[in-house]
Amino acid sequence: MTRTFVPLALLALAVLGPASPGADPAPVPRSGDGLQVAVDSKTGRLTAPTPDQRAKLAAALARAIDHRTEGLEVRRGPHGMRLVDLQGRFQNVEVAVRGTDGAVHLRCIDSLDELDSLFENEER
Amino acid sequence: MSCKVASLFVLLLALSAAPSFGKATIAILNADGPNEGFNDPTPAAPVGGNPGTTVGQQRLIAFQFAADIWGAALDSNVRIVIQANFDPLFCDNASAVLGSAGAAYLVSDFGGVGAFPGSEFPNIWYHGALADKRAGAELNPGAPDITAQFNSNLGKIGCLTGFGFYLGLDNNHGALPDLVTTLLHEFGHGLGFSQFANVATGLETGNQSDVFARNLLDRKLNLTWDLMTNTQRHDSAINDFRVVWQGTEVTDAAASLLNQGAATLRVNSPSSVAGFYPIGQAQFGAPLSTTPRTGTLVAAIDPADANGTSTLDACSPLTNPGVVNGKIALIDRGTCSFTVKVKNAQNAGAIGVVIADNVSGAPPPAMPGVDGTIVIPSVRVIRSDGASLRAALGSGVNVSLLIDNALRQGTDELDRVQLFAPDPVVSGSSISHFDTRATPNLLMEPILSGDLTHTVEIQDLTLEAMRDVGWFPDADVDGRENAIDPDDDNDGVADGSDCAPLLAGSFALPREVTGVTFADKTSLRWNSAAPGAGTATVHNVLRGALNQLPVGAGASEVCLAPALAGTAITDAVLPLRGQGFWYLVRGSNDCGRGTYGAATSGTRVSSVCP
Repeated sequence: MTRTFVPLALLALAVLGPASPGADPAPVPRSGDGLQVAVDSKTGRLTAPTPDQRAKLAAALARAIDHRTEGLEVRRGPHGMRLVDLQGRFQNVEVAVRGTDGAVHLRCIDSLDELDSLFENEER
Repeated sequence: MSCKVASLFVLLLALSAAPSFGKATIAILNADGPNEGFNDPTPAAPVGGNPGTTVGQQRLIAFQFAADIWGAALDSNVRIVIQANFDPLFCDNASAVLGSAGAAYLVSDFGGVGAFPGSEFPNIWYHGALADKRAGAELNPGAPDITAQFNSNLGKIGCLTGFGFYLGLDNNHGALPDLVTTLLHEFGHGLGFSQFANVATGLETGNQSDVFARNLLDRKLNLTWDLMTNTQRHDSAINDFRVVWQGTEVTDAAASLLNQGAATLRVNSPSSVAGFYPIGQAQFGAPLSTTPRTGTLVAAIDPADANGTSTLDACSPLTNPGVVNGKIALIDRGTCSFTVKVKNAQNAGAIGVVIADNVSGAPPPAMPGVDGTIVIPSVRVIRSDGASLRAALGSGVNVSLLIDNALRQGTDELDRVQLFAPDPVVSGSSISHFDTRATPNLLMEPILSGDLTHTVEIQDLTLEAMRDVGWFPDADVDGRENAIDPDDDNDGVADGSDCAPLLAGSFALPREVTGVTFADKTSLRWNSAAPGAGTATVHNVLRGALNQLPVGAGASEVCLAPALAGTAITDAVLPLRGQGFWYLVRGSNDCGRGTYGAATSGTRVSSVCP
């Protein structure tokens, strides 16, 4: 962190203060979710990512596509109310993929399996 | 420090570019750092009704525009907060992440916490914004209801170059991804259109179900998702074609929205396997039509030879043409092409073909191939359906291949809309979207089509889905649903006596305006028509020349004030010497137009004022 941003951070904290009804909420840290696929240089087709690429993609999307229910803490409130902070999980990710026809297709996903389904496969 | 890191430090400089106009206020919380995302100072020409002059302004205006569309459709007395930012996300020239969004938290069992009744069902999660609405209170103060993150690099060199978001508000996006449509979809997930079980394992968040899952009915299991075991839920997530939305709002709307006539394999008998089956259509042979191709389903038998070791694959000429002739042949997929199989069946006299897949997976894909000599129709079914049909052949299976008008595209025969449940399971896309079979295209399908409009309530089913999960209409946001609220708009006039029961500003047709007088030579005054009609009542002032009476006959008539809230007007125009003007005033509101005066019959005599 550079000094330039320190005062800004402090200012933000001061502005936010204690939470109160109707107050603007404090943003939470976010991950840099993202995906990447490759184009086969010979065929021009989209190719499935290599295991290494796939691992990187999984890491990049780790939180947004995380549908694990473990570790999500259920808080108790008044009158038996329960509340769970999803911690950035269960997000829906919008992806654009350029097909072999040059057109770009949009799809709402949040798993690597779904990304795989965007690739064009030969009929068996 | 990168822009991404900088954006973690919140600058609460701008919440929205324009005030919300809807019945629910949805605010965009700008979580970007200086000079990035919503604060990107790069100059931009106004586009498609977006008046912003920087990239950042245009992004924020588009976000608020989408939020306002949702805000106009929903009712809540608790502000909904969407924390949003733009960051550089992974991308290249083949693909890119556009963005992500979802609910930030869930709440259950919140009855008694706020002034309103709260949750309808015990031990059921509600999306945060929905829970707030039903409680009439902010249940998680200080936290955003929805989080959203979008790609700031989209369209830049190396990141789907030239394919950046269209930031206009008019949906004239051409080949570009329309940001407003994308946001409407993603906000929909965050507001209520998503479930919170892990579809890969069936495990539920916090060991309880949610309001979305309560609407998911698996026809094969005859259970809704909230009543299933984890194993059943896991299996249901890949039960393509047979997981439907059981909420009545969506079903009722689908019955008039979605197109009739879906391609299907209809099994007519025996009852043990009767019903509609999902199919993949052949790209060769006779296309399916509304005229059914009906017949007895029989197994096609061929020799186990060099063309195929199975006797059920029809890769060689059939050995039982006497059985197949005039029937519909059931053939296993594999070894040879689809066209070879169907041609062999046709040569044996088959009138149609059903090919059973040899690998798991759904929905069944189309069958490619070219053979101009094939004239019979053929379809593919998934492996498990093929196995069920083959097992029932001994009972005499009668089937029809057709485009069935008993089915709408994307529904079952009861107009219940299918959910996206492909096999293998697709986390996120699976179940939390309508099926792609729906026609016309819907906002909440996993594929965002270019023909979608900027609406959630007209020619779409998204608002109806929100109603089914608990976003009940409540015009006066008093916590009572319009259907049971005796005064929906809380204007003091019961709905039965209110000609605009959802609009607090109007409750009766304005009566004739009284007390029209000249305060001086140019100023006209009158008594307001609002009392007895509603505070939204305005006034029309019509002027004409005395020498062109009667009203409605003269070209000189001018509408001085088409919608004047006040009770006075100054007309600086003077009549010609020896001439005079007449003036008529009437009230109008959402109930209609009053009359121009006691002397009229009440019919409209001049169309100059609207």
